[in-house]
Parts: sequence; C-alpha cells; structure tokens
Amino acid sequence: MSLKQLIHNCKKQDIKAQEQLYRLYANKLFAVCLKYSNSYQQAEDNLQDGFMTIFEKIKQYQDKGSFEGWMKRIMINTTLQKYRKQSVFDIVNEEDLKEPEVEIDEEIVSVDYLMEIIQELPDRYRQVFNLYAMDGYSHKEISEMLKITTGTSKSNLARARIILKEKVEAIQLKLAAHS
Amino acid sequence: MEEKKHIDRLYQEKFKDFEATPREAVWKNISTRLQQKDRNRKIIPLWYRIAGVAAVFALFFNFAIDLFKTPGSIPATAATTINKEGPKDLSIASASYNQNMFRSSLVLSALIQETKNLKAKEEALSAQNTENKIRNVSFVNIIKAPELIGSDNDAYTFSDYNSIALQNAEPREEEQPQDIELKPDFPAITLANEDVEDDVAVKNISKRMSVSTTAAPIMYDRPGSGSAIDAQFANNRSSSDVTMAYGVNFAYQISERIKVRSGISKVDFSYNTNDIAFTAAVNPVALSGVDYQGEVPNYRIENRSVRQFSNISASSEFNRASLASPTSGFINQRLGFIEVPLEIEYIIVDKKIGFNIIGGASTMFLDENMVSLNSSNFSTNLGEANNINNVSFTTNVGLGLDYNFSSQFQLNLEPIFKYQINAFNNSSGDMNPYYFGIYSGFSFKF
Repeated sequence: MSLKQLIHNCKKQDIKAQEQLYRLYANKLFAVCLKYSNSYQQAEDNLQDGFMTIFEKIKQYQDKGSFEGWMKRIMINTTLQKYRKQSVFDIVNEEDLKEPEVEIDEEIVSVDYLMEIIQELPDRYRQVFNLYAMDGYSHKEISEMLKITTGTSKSNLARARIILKEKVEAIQLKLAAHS
Repeated sequence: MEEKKHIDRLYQEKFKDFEATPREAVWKNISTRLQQKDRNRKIIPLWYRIAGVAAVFALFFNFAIDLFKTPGSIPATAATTINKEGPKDLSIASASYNQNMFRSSLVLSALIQETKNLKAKEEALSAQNTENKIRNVSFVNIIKAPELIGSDNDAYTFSDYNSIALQNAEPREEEQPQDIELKPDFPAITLANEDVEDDVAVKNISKRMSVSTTAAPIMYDRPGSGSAIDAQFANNRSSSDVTMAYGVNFAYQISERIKVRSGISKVDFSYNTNDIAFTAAVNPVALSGVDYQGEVPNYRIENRSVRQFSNISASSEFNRASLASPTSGFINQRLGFIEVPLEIEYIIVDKKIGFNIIGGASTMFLDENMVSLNSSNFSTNLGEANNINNVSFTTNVGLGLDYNFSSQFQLNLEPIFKYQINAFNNSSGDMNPYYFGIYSGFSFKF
C-alpha cells in the first residue's frame, strides 16, 4: 500500500491503517520525543498524545509537503505544550552568546550519554537547543513558538550549550581517568 | 581521536539518524484510546435521535388529546342544568399538558445522566491508562567503561535503545563535517500560533446544529380598548391566566455570532373578561363575538355595572324569572395556537455561560378556540369566538441566557416578548394582544 493510500485510510479512521502508520513512523518520532522530553516515561506519554493528535488532525492534511515533516511538527508541538507553563529566564549576557567549542573524543562519548545530559537540561534550555541546533529553527521562529523574546531564546541556547559542553568534558575526564 | 567541535555540531552528527523503538504498551494505549473515541462517536448520535423522537412524541400526545375529542360533546344548552363540577374541562386540559411535560422531562433527565456516565467512563479509562504505564523504567546509568568500537565504520551501538536504523547506518563519505541540512523538511512557519488558530476554527465549525426543547409559562394581555366578546364589555376589567407553551426548536449556527432557528410549539392563552353578570333568561341575547354551536344558551349575560334588571317589569311568569338576582362571574376565552417561529440569535457571550439577543417573527395557526361562561362554582361553554383569524403573526424580541454543561449540552433560559399582529378580524375595538414567556429548556448540539 502506498503512503497516499495509507493516509487516505487513516482519514477514514481505519484502525488497521492507523496501526500501520504507527509502525512505520514510531521509531523516528519516538526519537524526537526523547530529545524533547525530560525522561523516558515523559517521552512515551508525549508519543502517545502526539499520535492521538496526528490521527485526529490527519483529516486536515492536504498532501502538501513532507508528511513525515508534518507529523514531526505535531510531535514537537505536543511536547512543547507540556512545558508551556514554565517560567523563562531573561537575563542575557553577551559573552555567553558565543557558540562554545568542546574538545571531544567521539569514540568515548556515546549517544546514550548525550541523550541523558540533554534530558537533564531545564525544559526551556532543552527545547531551544533542540529547535535551534538539531531541528534548524531560527530564533525568531522559536520565539513565536515558545512565546518568548528572541533575546531569551538566544540566552537559553547559550546556557544550554555551556551546560552540555561542561558535562561532555566532565565525562571524558572521568572516563579517561578510569582507563 | 580528539578534535574540537562545536557542541551543536556534535549533537547534530550523533543524532542525525537516531531512532528508538518504543515499548509495545505505547501502541496498546493508543489503540485503546482510538477505540474508545470511536465508540463514543457512535453512541452519542443515537441519543440525539432518541431525544428528537421523544420531543416529537411529547408534542404528538398533546395534539392527539384534542383529536380524540369529538365535536359537540360539550353541551351548550340546557339552561336549567347547572354544571356543579365547574371548570373541570379547563383543568383536564392543563393536567394533560403537565403530564406530557413531565414525560418529556423524564426522558431528558435520563439522557443527561447517560451523557454524564459516558464522560465519566472515558475519564476513568484514560486515568487507568496513565497508571498502567510501567513506572520502573528509568534511564540506564551509562557512565561505564567505554566499549571498544571498531574504527572501520561509523556505526554507533546502543545499550538501551533498540535502534533498527543505526544497525544499518551508512558509513559517512565525507571527512569534513558539513552543514547538515535539517531545515528543508520543516517549513518555517509559526507552529504554535497556527495550531491555536486551527483549534479555534475547528471548534466554531464543528457543532453547528442544535435541537432544543422548550417550556414556558405565558403571560398574555390585550391592551387597548374593546372586547373580542361583545361591545358591551369594552371597558370591563380583564385579566389573564398564566398558561403554558412548549415545543421543539432547531437551530443552525451560520457564523460565529449568528444562529438561525425555527421550530414548532403549542401555546395557549386564557383571557378573562370580568365583572359580568348573568341570569337565566328565556330570550337570551347572543354575544356578538361568539359563534354558538347549536342554540344560544338561555343565559342573559350582561355587564354587571349596567343595572338593567331593576327596570324590567315582569308581565308574565317567564319574564318574572328574569328578575332573579344575577350571578356574577366572568367570561373566559381560551385560545390555542400552533406557533412556527423563525428567529435569529445574535450571540454576545459564548463561554460557559452564554448570552444572546433574539429577534424574529412567528406564524400562528389557530388550533383551539373556546368561550365559556364561569362563576365561582359553575362553568359552561358558550361556543367559539368568531373574530379570531386562523392565521396571524407575531414579532418577537427577547434575551437568551445559556449554561453550557458541556460542548454539546446546554441549559437555556429565554425571556421573550411577542406582539401579535392581525389576531382579530373585526373585533369590537382596537386590540393588539401580546404575550410574554420565559422559555426554558435543554439543547443538544451536534
């Protein structure tokens, strides 16, 4: 069955088509949820809610643009809504805005660890870092999505980078000391 | 191999093809929620249909009672028989109305309970699903000794994620890090705002139709001079009994602020001409406004303020009888109409409590028409009024107050004023009746 046919059947609330769509995209979309959530369990909840929204809104999907991109947008929005009521930090330090470089031994630092430290970030920092560094949104777009100023977006990004860099360097030191 | 990298680049590269398989329980929860939604969608329309049928039956029962009355069953003559049971005819009619309203309200309260039960079940099920998730899954502590990874490929292995894609990760061709093009997949639009607007738009369009039942106590009056019964009563004191109207309305929301509605209802008026006196008489004079069914009853009905009796000189036995002291009482006119309104609701507030302005017109079809002579312990039908138009109109204006129990179910309270045009064809006088009702009822939106 083609993707177009699958989408058409999902619009008719055909449960078999919905399951097939889930099986096809769950892995990729779960990865998105993991990056944006603060725990594995939260990520599972967000994946469920996100798919429920996808199945509801699929009636409005117009076959324009990438379907996977459309689903990913919904998933990101679902996770963002969970943390909408968080407070935001507004103090901007110009020096912090530079993108820090980190000395990295890629053989040591695994994706597992990178995932863990990104989930440990405060929610706002994690969201901004994901949206900017990994999903390519601009600060203007991020400010509209998160209802913050672009200044706040930049400072959140800067702080996220600093924390991640410090943790990456720390684990490398630790692992180097053990070996 | 150590190198300097920007932290962004590090994450981009590591997560480029990252995938993870969720537990099977996630799909089970999704499918349960989908099936529950599907079931709810099928059950609720069924209840709307039952509500519609119940409302139609309630109306039908009322009409059926009238249909089963055979014409001429009420004796209009017999001057000597005094109907001691008095206003029994009137009370039977209102008792049946009350009975029908009671039946309708029983059906409606059963529907309300069922809707509440369905909602409670859905909430209980979703709460249960949240609890059923395994709580003990935690992020595995990955600060451990590094695994030796071969240098001939760039695949990354995971200890905790069942990653299918990464097992098949393609080796990277370029040595230098490149700008990873992530953006083209995702159009640069304002997502948060767009979704909010979508939700608002969908909310407005989704439930446009509604059906509602109404019941109202009615206050009726005919200001102006004149009397529909007879010219001699033009200046008599008049009064009106509070009667009931009830019916079914259908509404369609054509825009965010405007609803058009129509329906059908039965409305009754009971209007009294007071301060009349009557006595048994051999040669009664017919009232000009009454169409007697059969013989004119042997009553002399006159305005009590007119003291004519004392001037009559009795020349015979029969005439002497007319000197008997008159009984005071009132003439009651009972009118029943089938009303078909066409109204517009202008919505001012549309939240949990809603407020709107109502305006429009109704067509009134005469259904019931009865004039009776009454005193404190006596009542007899005289006939029908002969000057009421079979079809007349009203102009309506009112306010509406709604309480939204849910997005589909609403309680309405609407005081509406209706001014009746061309009610009478050639009445003795210049009267324009109006009536005021406080319409209350329930609405279902779908």
